[in-house]
Amino acid sequence: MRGLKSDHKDKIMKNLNSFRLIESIPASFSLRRQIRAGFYFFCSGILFLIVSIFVLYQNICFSTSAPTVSSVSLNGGSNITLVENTTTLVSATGTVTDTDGYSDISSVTGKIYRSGVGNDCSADNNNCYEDSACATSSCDGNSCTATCDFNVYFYAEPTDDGIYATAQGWNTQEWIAWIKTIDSQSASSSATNTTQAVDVNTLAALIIDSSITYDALDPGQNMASTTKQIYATTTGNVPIDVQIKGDAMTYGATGTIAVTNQRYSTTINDAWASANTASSSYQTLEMDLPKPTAHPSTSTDIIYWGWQVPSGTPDGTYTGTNYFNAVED
Amino acid sequence: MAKKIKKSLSWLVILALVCLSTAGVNFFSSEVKAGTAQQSIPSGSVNNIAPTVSAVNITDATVTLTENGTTSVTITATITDTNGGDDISSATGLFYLVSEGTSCNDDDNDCYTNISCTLGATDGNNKNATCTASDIYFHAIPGSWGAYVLAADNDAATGSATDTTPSTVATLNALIVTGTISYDALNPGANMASTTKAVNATTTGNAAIDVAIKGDAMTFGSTGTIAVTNQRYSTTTNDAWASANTASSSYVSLEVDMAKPTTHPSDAGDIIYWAWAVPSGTPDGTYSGTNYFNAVSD
Repeated sequence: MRGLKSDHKDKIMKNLNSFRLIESIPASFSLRRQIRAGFYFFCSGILFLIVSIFVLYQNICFSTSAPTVSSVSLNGGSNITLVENTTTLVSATGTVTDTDGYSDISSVTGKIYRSGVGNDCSADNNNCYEDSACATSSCDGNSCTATCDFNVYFYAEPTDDGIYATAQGWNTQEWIAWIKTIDSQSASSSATNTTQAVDVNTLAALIIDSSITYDALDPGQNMASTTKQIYATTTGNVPIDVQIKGDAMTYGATGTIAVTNQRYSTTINDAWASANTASSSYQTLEMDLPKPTAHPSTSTDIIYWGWQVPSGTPDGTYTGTNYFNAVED
Repeated sequence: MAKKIKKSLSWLVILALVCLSTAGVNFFSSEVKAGTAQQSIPSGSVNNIAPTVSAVNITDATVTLTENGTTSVTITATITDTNGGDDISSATGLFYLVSEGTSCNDDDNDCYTNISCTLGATDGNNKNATCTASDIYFHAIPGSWGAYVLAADNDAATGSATDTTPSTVATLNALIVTGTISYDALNPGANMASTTKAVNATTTGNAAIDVAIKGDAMTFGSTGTIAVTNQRYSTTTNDAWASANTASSSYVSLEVDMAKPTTHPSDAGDIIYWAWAVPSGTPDGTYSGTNYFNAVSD
């Protein structure tokens, strides 16, 4: 702006020199032409003065300053704990300031992202979330509090010291909040939460089918192979194996079939003798379910089940409960 | 920079935690969040299996009936249910003349149905059954008799079996004769003109019979004796004295052709008519003696 002001001064001085040039015109010119030329120069000078004064008025009376962002914070500085198979509301806050008054702030946008992808990242529920219209509140004077909300999916990439995060090298990174503000003159600035180190925690989780129905058997029989399917779907942010245990199946007051009469396998139609025997305490089944990258999760595998009915088991319909727990692979 | 500071500090924290753990204090907790343990409800139906019956046996290889009464027969069996011995709810027995088959209708001559069985304690998938027929009548037909046991479970499924070695109901030749006879009073040297004194003989076994008869001398006091040969008998009423059979001190068979009873009380009987003679020289008095009747196969 100061540069513009110097330019105007130069132009004014140039016009004054033009007047001095008129004064030095030789006397051989006719008076009439001299008067006409002088008149033109005079009018041009007047017009130039008017324009210059208008420009100066605009620069002096209507000048703007770029807004600023400060005190950016992500999730209050705490690590982010996701919720299995759904989203978690995570907020980034900051103070946006415009010396032209807070009303000059026209918009605030924000991003949170794994530091490895940078703030130029495109929206990706794995590692980069955008809020194109962050809310402002508590506005006073030149400043407002900006709050950017992000519904972070369960499969957002972890940056803690978990097995998967470490294997990916993400344990040396963190999640960054970046907030940008723009004023009415499209001037903008941005900032990040440089003083915080916020991780997304590892979440090992899964969901499974609610029930299976075994073949009806006579006492003393077993299913020839594992044919009953349970779908296990990863609903966290890391690859998993599955721990399995179960209770005895019961019928009425006295009918009991021990949990060891159930078997499972990751192989369909696995022979009864080859399948894993269920236990009353958790046993790990190597499933290598990968980390989901979308929602609903497509990281699914099938656990095939079979059962046997010991001789001496009263007839009836038996039910039990099997438990499945995700463990990070 | 903050990350680097954090990572450097983390080594110090880990070292501190190790020290604390060594001292028996565990402050470590995993940062990894485990999702909620999921549950699945497995269900399956166990079929009901009908019980099976084995080892059916009649305790006595030979069943000896009781004349004019009843006899107890015991049948044993093993009942097995793969749904467990506790699933066995009841059992009944059948004692039958083999030639009549297990579909026979209840008849005291050849078919005893619905014999109550007592179940023993559960032993795994088994229960022992003891079936007692306490009312096998004297007129049950002699021959080969079998046993059949029908078992039921709590779902009313049934299983059955017969014994593989039938028993024999032995032939029972038996009779009863009723009361006493009082001959006509006679003078010494006289005899009754015909056999008029009736003795009812009733078959009380399970076969047609004839009757073997003998007798003792009739006596009075210490000296009076009338030999048994002074009594005569006949299956014909009012049979002439001369035609009647002379009693003997040893059994002599009388052809009476008494039929096998088919019911109880016995419906098979006949009458033996008696008379006597008083030899000359017989002291006066009231003489009594004993005659014996024995059933013999017809």
